[in-house]
This record gives sequence, structure tokens and C-alpha cells, in this order.
Amino acid sequence: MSTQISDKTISVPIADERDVNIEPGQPYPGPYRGSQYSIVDSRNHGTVIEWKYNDLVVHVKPPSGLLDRLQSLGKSRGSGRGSIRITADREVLTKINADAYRYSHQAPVSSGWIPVYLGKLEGDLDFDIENDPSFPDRDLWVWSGFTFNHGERWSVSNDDRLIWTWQDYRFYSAFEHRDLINKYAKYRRIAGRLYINEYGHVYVNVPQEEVPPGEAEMVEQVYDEWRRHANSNGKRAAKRLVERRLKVTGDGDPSKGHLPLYIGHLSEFDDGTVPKPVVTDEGYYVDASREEAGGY
Amino acid sequence: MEGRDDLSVGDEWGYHYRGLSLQTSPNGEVWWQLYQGTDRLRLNPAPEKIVDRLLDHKRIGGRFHVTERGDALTRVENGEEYEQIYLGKIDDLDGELVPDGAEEYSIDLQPDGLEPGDLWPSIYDGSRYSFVGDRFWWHSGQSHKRHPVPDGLPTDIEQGLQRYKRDGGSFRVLPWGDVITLVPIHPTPEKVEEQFNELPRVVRNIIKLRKDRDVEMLPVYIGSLDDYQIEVNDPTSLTDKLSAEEEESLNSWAQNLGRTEARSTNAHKVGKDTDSGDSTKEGIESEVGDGADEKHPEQGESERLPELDDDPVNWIMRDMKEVDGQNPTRRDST
Repeated sequence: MSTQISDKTISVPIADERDVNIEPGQPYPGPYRGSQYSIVDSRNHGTVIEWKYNDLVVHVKPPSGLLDRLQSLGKSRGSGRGSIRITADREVLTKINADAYRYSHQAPVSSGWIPVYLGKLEGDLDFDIENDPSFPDRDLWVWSGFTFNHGERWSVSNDDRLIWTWQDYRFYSAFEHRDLINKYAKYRRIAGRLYINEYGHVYVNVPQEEVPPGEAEMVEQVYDEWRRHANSNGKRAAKRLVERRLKVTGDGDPSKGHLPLYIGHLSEFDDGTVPKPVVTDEGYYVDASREEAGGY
Repeated sequence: MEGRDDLSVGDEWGYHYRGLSLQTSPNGEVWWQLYQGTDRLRLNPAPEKIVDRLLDHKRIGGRFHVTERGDALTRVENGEEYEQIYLGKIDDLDGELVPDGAEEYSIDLQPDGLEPGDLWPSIYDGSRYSFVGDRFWWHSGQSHKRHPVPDGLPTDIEQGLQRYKRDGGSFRVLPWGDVITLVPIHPTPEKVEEQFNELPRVVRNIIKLRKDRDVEMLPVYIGSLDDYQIEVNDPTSLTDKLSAEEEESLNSWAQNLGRTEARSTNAHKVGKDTDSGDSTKEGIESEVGDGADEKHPEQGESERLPELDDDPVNWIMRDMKEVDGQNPTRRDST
């Protein structure tokens, strides 16, 4: 299937247990979040979609229709360049300056940088990275897709709900996610993050010292197996992404780093419910509008 | 290592493209142009040999660059592509920069007698490199990739840069090896304030132009590379073979596994309020470590590097985007 941006109207949970229908091009009333990519010009490849983490850069052709949509909505003075986000439900978002955005009056805050829904991602961004892996027989594996700037970042709250945070804002998911939280808790002795990417895959950060007794052996076994698999299949990018993650989360010492551990796909938990944070403090809109890329 | 000894004039330049930016007209005049403006400073005398060679390739003249090693380079249109051409070496690029119709305000291209930390009384240009801490790199405008400088710079230059730009940033290296950078005007050491008033009028005007863009920066002389040569490596590719160190990193995680503690059920959760105490304390600590990226979401985790926006080229690029809104890729930029 070719990769494209569809015109699907989406339903976004908002306060007071209500949903609002949002069409492509309209302001997005949920938290600005998801995998982070940029639309940039490359002399060798024209306009591309870019994933970047410090010195690591990968480009691919943008999904069909994305650049046109960004340009027609006035992104970056009509050039269409700049950053986008893709949520766990494949909603493609960007921020457009209110000065250039014709629907700014529909936004909760009508000045600054307004989060806008562009459409749903259909097909895969073909980065040649294991961002949409298929592990039919596995309960656990090492996450070796993008290990930075990738996926929605969630935590687990005191009352066993998923909570999305940015600055001092903390927004609950509109739904319950018992299965997902149970699986997460198996591999984290204390609290941490979980990440959900645009294909619905979930991974967690596992510091060695926090692997619960009884699971440590399993994690070690999985890690050994993954390394053998990566070595024998020449998975250099996968190894590099994991190595960098270990080094960065270990503050320079990979042996103390957090292992990105894949714990499953959203379809395996809670009847496939996709977590959706609900903005319950309108101050968020004001603060998020101050930053072109922030708010997630 | 750059092997210009093997290069002949007119050969393709296969190394990183950078340098002091100069322009030449069909009649052989050479000038330095003020950031994207119309004001220009004529270089007197012009490096004639290089100009003649450039005009062989570009009859109507155009831009060329001189690297920190004195290599003169230009880009020549070749169908839809641009080819990078080596024009030869300039050993003695020097002279005065002369404003149109105001020779009395000329400035030296290559000021001398400066001490590290002195204000730079000439144009801010040269090969552009960047650093954070002890990591140095050259950023490719073409591929958007960072090409590491594995051996760094001489210690005195590194220390000078770190002293004036604690958070890192970019700097320039001129064809004769002088290293200069831009520092914020405030706070200004007393010595610098005195020097500012003594700067040539043209230089003060250039600084004022930057100030007009709300970027109050002063050019400062850091020191000279002397004979030191900056070596640049290819950028890391995700699919490059892993180094022995990277392989060892992957091994080391498993080797350390095994330090475990009893499960703490209460600690499986993140507190609603970060200061709510007891059962969540442990969890909060973990959350902070785990989510270090939250404070710096643009860069991800703690290995973040700042978005560097401290060089006139950034501002020019921004202006170009604002003007045409179409194509920010500078085909002849450093």
C-alpha cells in the first residue's frame, strides 16, 4: 500500500466525557504528542521526511499528500517545512503559526503556535528501521526501532491509569488500560515510562537494577537472544539504536543504561484501546502555543 | 585526510565544502558581502590568480570560498547538479576591505597583534565548525548530517571556546588559522567594552546589523590554529559497522544484569503530584531519570545538544525562507 495522508475525520476525547469530531486542517484539541519527524529540503533527495537524533539522521520520501496539505494550511509561511508529530492512533499533527492559519479562530488559543490535525497516516514511513516489527511468537523482545524522539510517552498513575505529562501538566487517558499496565509492571520494579509508536507498538525502558526478581533471567535471555539474532542478521542500525539508548540513559555508561524492551502491540491489550490523553486544564493550550515544537 | 597535494586546479573537490566566502565580478573585482545585504567591502588587492581561474569556470564571476587551509573552492553548475571545484591554494590572502566610496573606513582582512579574548576588528566569516564540550563537528548543509572532528582542536583553542561559549555553539576558522566566535554582548567584560569603542566603524556597523535582528553578539578572537589541521570524518550512518566500543557497550549491559531487589508493589506507579511523598518517592526519582527528555523534548534524552543558532548564516537562511518561502537550500553556502 502506498503511504499517504488520508482525509479521515477523527474523534478526539475532550473534557466532561465528550468527544469532538475533527476534520483534517482543523485545530487539534488533544495534547500535541507522538513520534517526531521533520520535513526538510535535501539537496540530493528533494523534500524529505527526516528522523534525527543528534548525529543520527535518516530521510525518506514523505507520504503522498503531506507536503501539499502542510503548504495549503500555511505551515512555515507556505513552504510546508518544519516538524510534525504522529500519535499512537496515526494522527498526523503539526503546529502552524496563527498569523498564517485560516482556522485560528476555531482553536482554544487563537495566537501563537496552533496544533493542527493534518490527516491520518496510511501505510508505512519506509525508514528501513524496525519500527513496525512482527514477532508472532514472542511475548518480549528488545525494541530496536527508533529509540529516540519516537512514540507517545506515557507513565502509570497511582490509580493504575495511564497519564500523559508535559511540563507541569498531567492528563489521564480517557480509557482504562489494565492489561497494558499489568504487562508494563511485570518488567519495572518502580515507575517509569512507556512509549507507544504510530504503529501501536509499546516499549518500556528497563534499568537493570529495576528488573523484578523472577523476570531478570527472562530479560537476560531475551537480550542475549536478540543480540545473537542481530549479529547473525547484520542488524547494524538496530544494534546502534539500542547501543545509543543504553549509553544515553546510562549517562554515558551503557552498562547502567535502560534497555528498551518491547512488550507488545496495543491490539494485544484492553481490546485494542488506544490511550488518548484528555486536556483538562486549558492553561495547557496557552503554554503549548508558545512553542513551535513543544507541548508534547 | 584531505590530500590537496593530489589535486590539480579544476579537479572536483571531494572534501567538506566550507570557508571564507568571497565574490568576484566579471572584471575580476573581489568583495565580501554583508549578510544578504547590498553593502559590500572590496578586497584590495584581489587574489588575481584564483580569480582568473574562477573566471575560467564562471565567466560572469560568482562566489568562492577559502578554507582554513587556504584552499580556494567554488561550485559550478553542471546540468541540474552543482560540482565542487578546487581552484588552487592561496598562501597569502590579505589586504584591506574597502567600503564603496569610503576608502577612509577600510579595515584589515587579517588583523594582527590580537590577544585571545580581544574583540575581532574585522568581518565575521571563515570555515564554520560547531562544538559542545569537547565534541566538535562540521555540519553539512546538504545532508543535514554532522561530520565529527575526532581529534578536536588544540587545547588552548578548545579552552578558549569553552570559556566564551559554555553551552557550545559555532565558530569560524579563517584561511590563515585564526579562530573567532560570536559571544553575547551582555554581560560584557570591561576590557571588551573599551575595545568596542575602538573598533573600526565598519565593524561596529556590522555588529549593529546583528543587533537589529535582536541578536546582540560580538566577534571575539580565540586564538590561532597555527599549523594544526582540522580533520573531519564521515558522519555516522545508522548502518555503519559498529565500532569495538559500541559492541562492548551492548555486551556490558548484559554483564551487569543480576543486581535485583525485592518487588515493591506500591512503587509500580508514578505519583500524581511530584511532591506527594511516601510510596511514590522512589518512582519519582526513576521518572526523572527515565524521562530526562521531557525537559528537553526537542533533542530527546540527556545526550541532547543545543540547537545552535549563533551564526549569521542561520539568520540569512531564515531571511531567505521568509523572502521566498520556497527554497532555503543555499547552493553555495558553507
